[in-house]
Amino acid sequence: MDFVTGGMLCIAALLLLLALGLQIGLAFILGGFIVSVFILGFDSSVSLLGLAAYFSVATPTWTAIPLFILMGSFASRGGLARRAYDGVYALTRGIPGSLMVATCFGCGVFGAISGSSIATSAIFGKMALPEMNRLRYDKALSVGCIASAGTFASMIPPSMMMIIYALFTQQSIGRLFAAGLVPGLLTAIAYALLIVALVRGRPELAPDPPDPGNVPRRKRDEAMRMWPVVIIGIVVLGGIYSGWLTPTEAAAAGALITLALGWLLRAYKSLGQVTGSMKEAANVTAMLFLINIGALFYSRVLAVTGLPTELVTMLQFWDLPPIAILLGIMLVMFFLGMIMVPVGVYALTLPIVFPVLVSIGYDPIWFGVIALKLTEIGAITPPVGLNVFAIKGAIPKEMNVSLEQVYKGCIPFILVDIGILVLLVAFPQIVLWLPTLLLG
Amino acid sequence: MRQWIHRANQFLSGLAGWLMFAMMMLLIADVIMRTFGKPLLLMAELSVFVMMIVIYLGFPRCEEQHEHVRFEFVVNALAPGVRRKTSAAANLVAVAVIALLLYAVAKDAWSSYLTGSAIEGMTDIPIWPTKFIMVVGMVIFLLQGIVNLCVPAETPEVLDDASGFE
Repeated sequence: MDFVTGGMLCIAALLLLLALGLQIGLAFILGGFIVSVFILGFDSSVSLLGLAAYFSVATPTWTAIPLFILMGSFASRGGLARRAYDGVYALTRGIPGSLMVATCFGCGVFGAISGSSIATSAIFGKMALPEMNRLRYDKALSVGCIASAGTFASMIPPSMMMIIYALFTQQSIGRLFAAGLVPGLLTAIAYALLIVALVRGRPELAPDPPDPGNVPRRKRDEAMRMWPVVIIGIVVLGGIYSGWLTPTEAAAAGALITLALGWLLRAYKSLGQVTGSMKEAANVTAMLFLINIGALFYSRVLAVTGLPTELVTMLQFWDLPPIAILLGIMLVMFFLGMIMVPVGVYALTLPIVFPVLVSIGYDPIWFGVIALKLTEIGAITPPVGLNVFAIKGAIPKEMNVSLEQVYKGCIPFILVDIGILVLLVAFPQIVLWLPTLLLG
Repeated sequence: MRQWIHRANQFLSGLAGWLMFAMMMLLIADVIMRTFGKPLLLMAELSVFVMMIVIYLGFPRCEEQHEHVRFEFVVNALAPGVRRKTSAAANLVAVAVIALLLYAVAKDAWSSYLTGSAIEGMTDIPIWPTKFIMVVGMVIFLLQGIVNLCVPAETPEVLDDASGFE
């Protein structure tokens, strides 16, 4: 079989298996294996699969992912999300739509110790939504705000998806973390401005909460409750950028400190709760790595077919303007993000589009942020909006909010996200100046 | 057999949880000792071994809980009868792929044992014990896949598969 035809068959087989509803990780393995058998023969393909099952992820850098998952799990059960939310809410009280603004920045703060978009949406849904409902905030806007705010939690470092992007494309995790910070904060600020503008225009969307009295002191006290989150953020990010810790060691230190603080603050009532967190983290790790192992095997087979190289050559021959190629790739990733989990989108597209983008001169770190932004927008758009599903699961039944209402509530935030995306494409320096400043 | 696999999954899930803790402590020990000028050798490599064990021992539990992510957009759009048949076909293919992966991992483990492949350093650490533990995880993963084939899930929802995921 012609190698390039093999590459195209590889993609067709994968799409067919995904449509069948096979587990994504297994679909990658089978899709890659079928083509590998045609090209290399059965025995060599089995050997390649056996080696990939171990060596594709058996490097110290990959261990950062389970440890960041563990840290997020400890943080979720250790009550640190509540502290982040209460602290930020104290600071935003008095601003129109203060609970929603607090949710935006609270998600950003919690993102500094979680790195998971879905987990952040689910946790803040449980915490913030009952309070918003009590104050008669507009239901659709409230849930839309929480689902959307979860998306930039994964942009604020440490971000699990950034690590996965770094490992798929052999980029520096430290640089990617630094690159995500400004776009993440920019999105949080843009969301907050949107909420204020909407509520100023239509105050019934978010009626003012009653005056709590003795405001300055209470604000300070409640804001001070965020101290554990600040400490964890300093240890993890400070450790990485000072050069004292590798990202993997920073993840281990972050997980240990998160556990210790949760224990000291009496968030854990028994050892069983701690082991529950660890089991949960182990489950998520296994789930994520079946996809990673499958995806990396698939990428290797795709590389053997030479399809990515052929595609680069073809695009160079066509002499298309780089921006047209970029927009085409962004469009594909955007649509895939609407129907697939981010890691699946990365595994399906990066082996092909990454060499193309680098060959036409786009910065790989910058594209990491763009790719994450695209897949995160996909997390709040129909039909498969993972954050929307997460928040839907957290909505109390008595609130009676339909999935359509959640999607409707996300629309203003999606428009803001698209605006930010345009900004990041037009001015790559927004993404690149911080990594350049910190790491040269 | 279903009960036996369920108990094995519960045990392995608990073990994997504690191994996560061990992985964290290995790296912390290395950082602390390095800070005092006495770095521990091969801690990062050991943590990789532990991670591989956590991953492979965790597969069957995820399969039992239907937590392995699927793309269900197309399947959910099908008529109920066609959907059931498609899901059964997907489960059958899943068992075949798990069996294939088990074969590949077992063959690789045996090859590592025969060649004595190891991580080289001041003290060589053999890789094959980790690979054989991976095989154990894969065997239970396969058994769980067969159980799921015989007892399919009740119309799984997209949310169930996505929960706890990035």
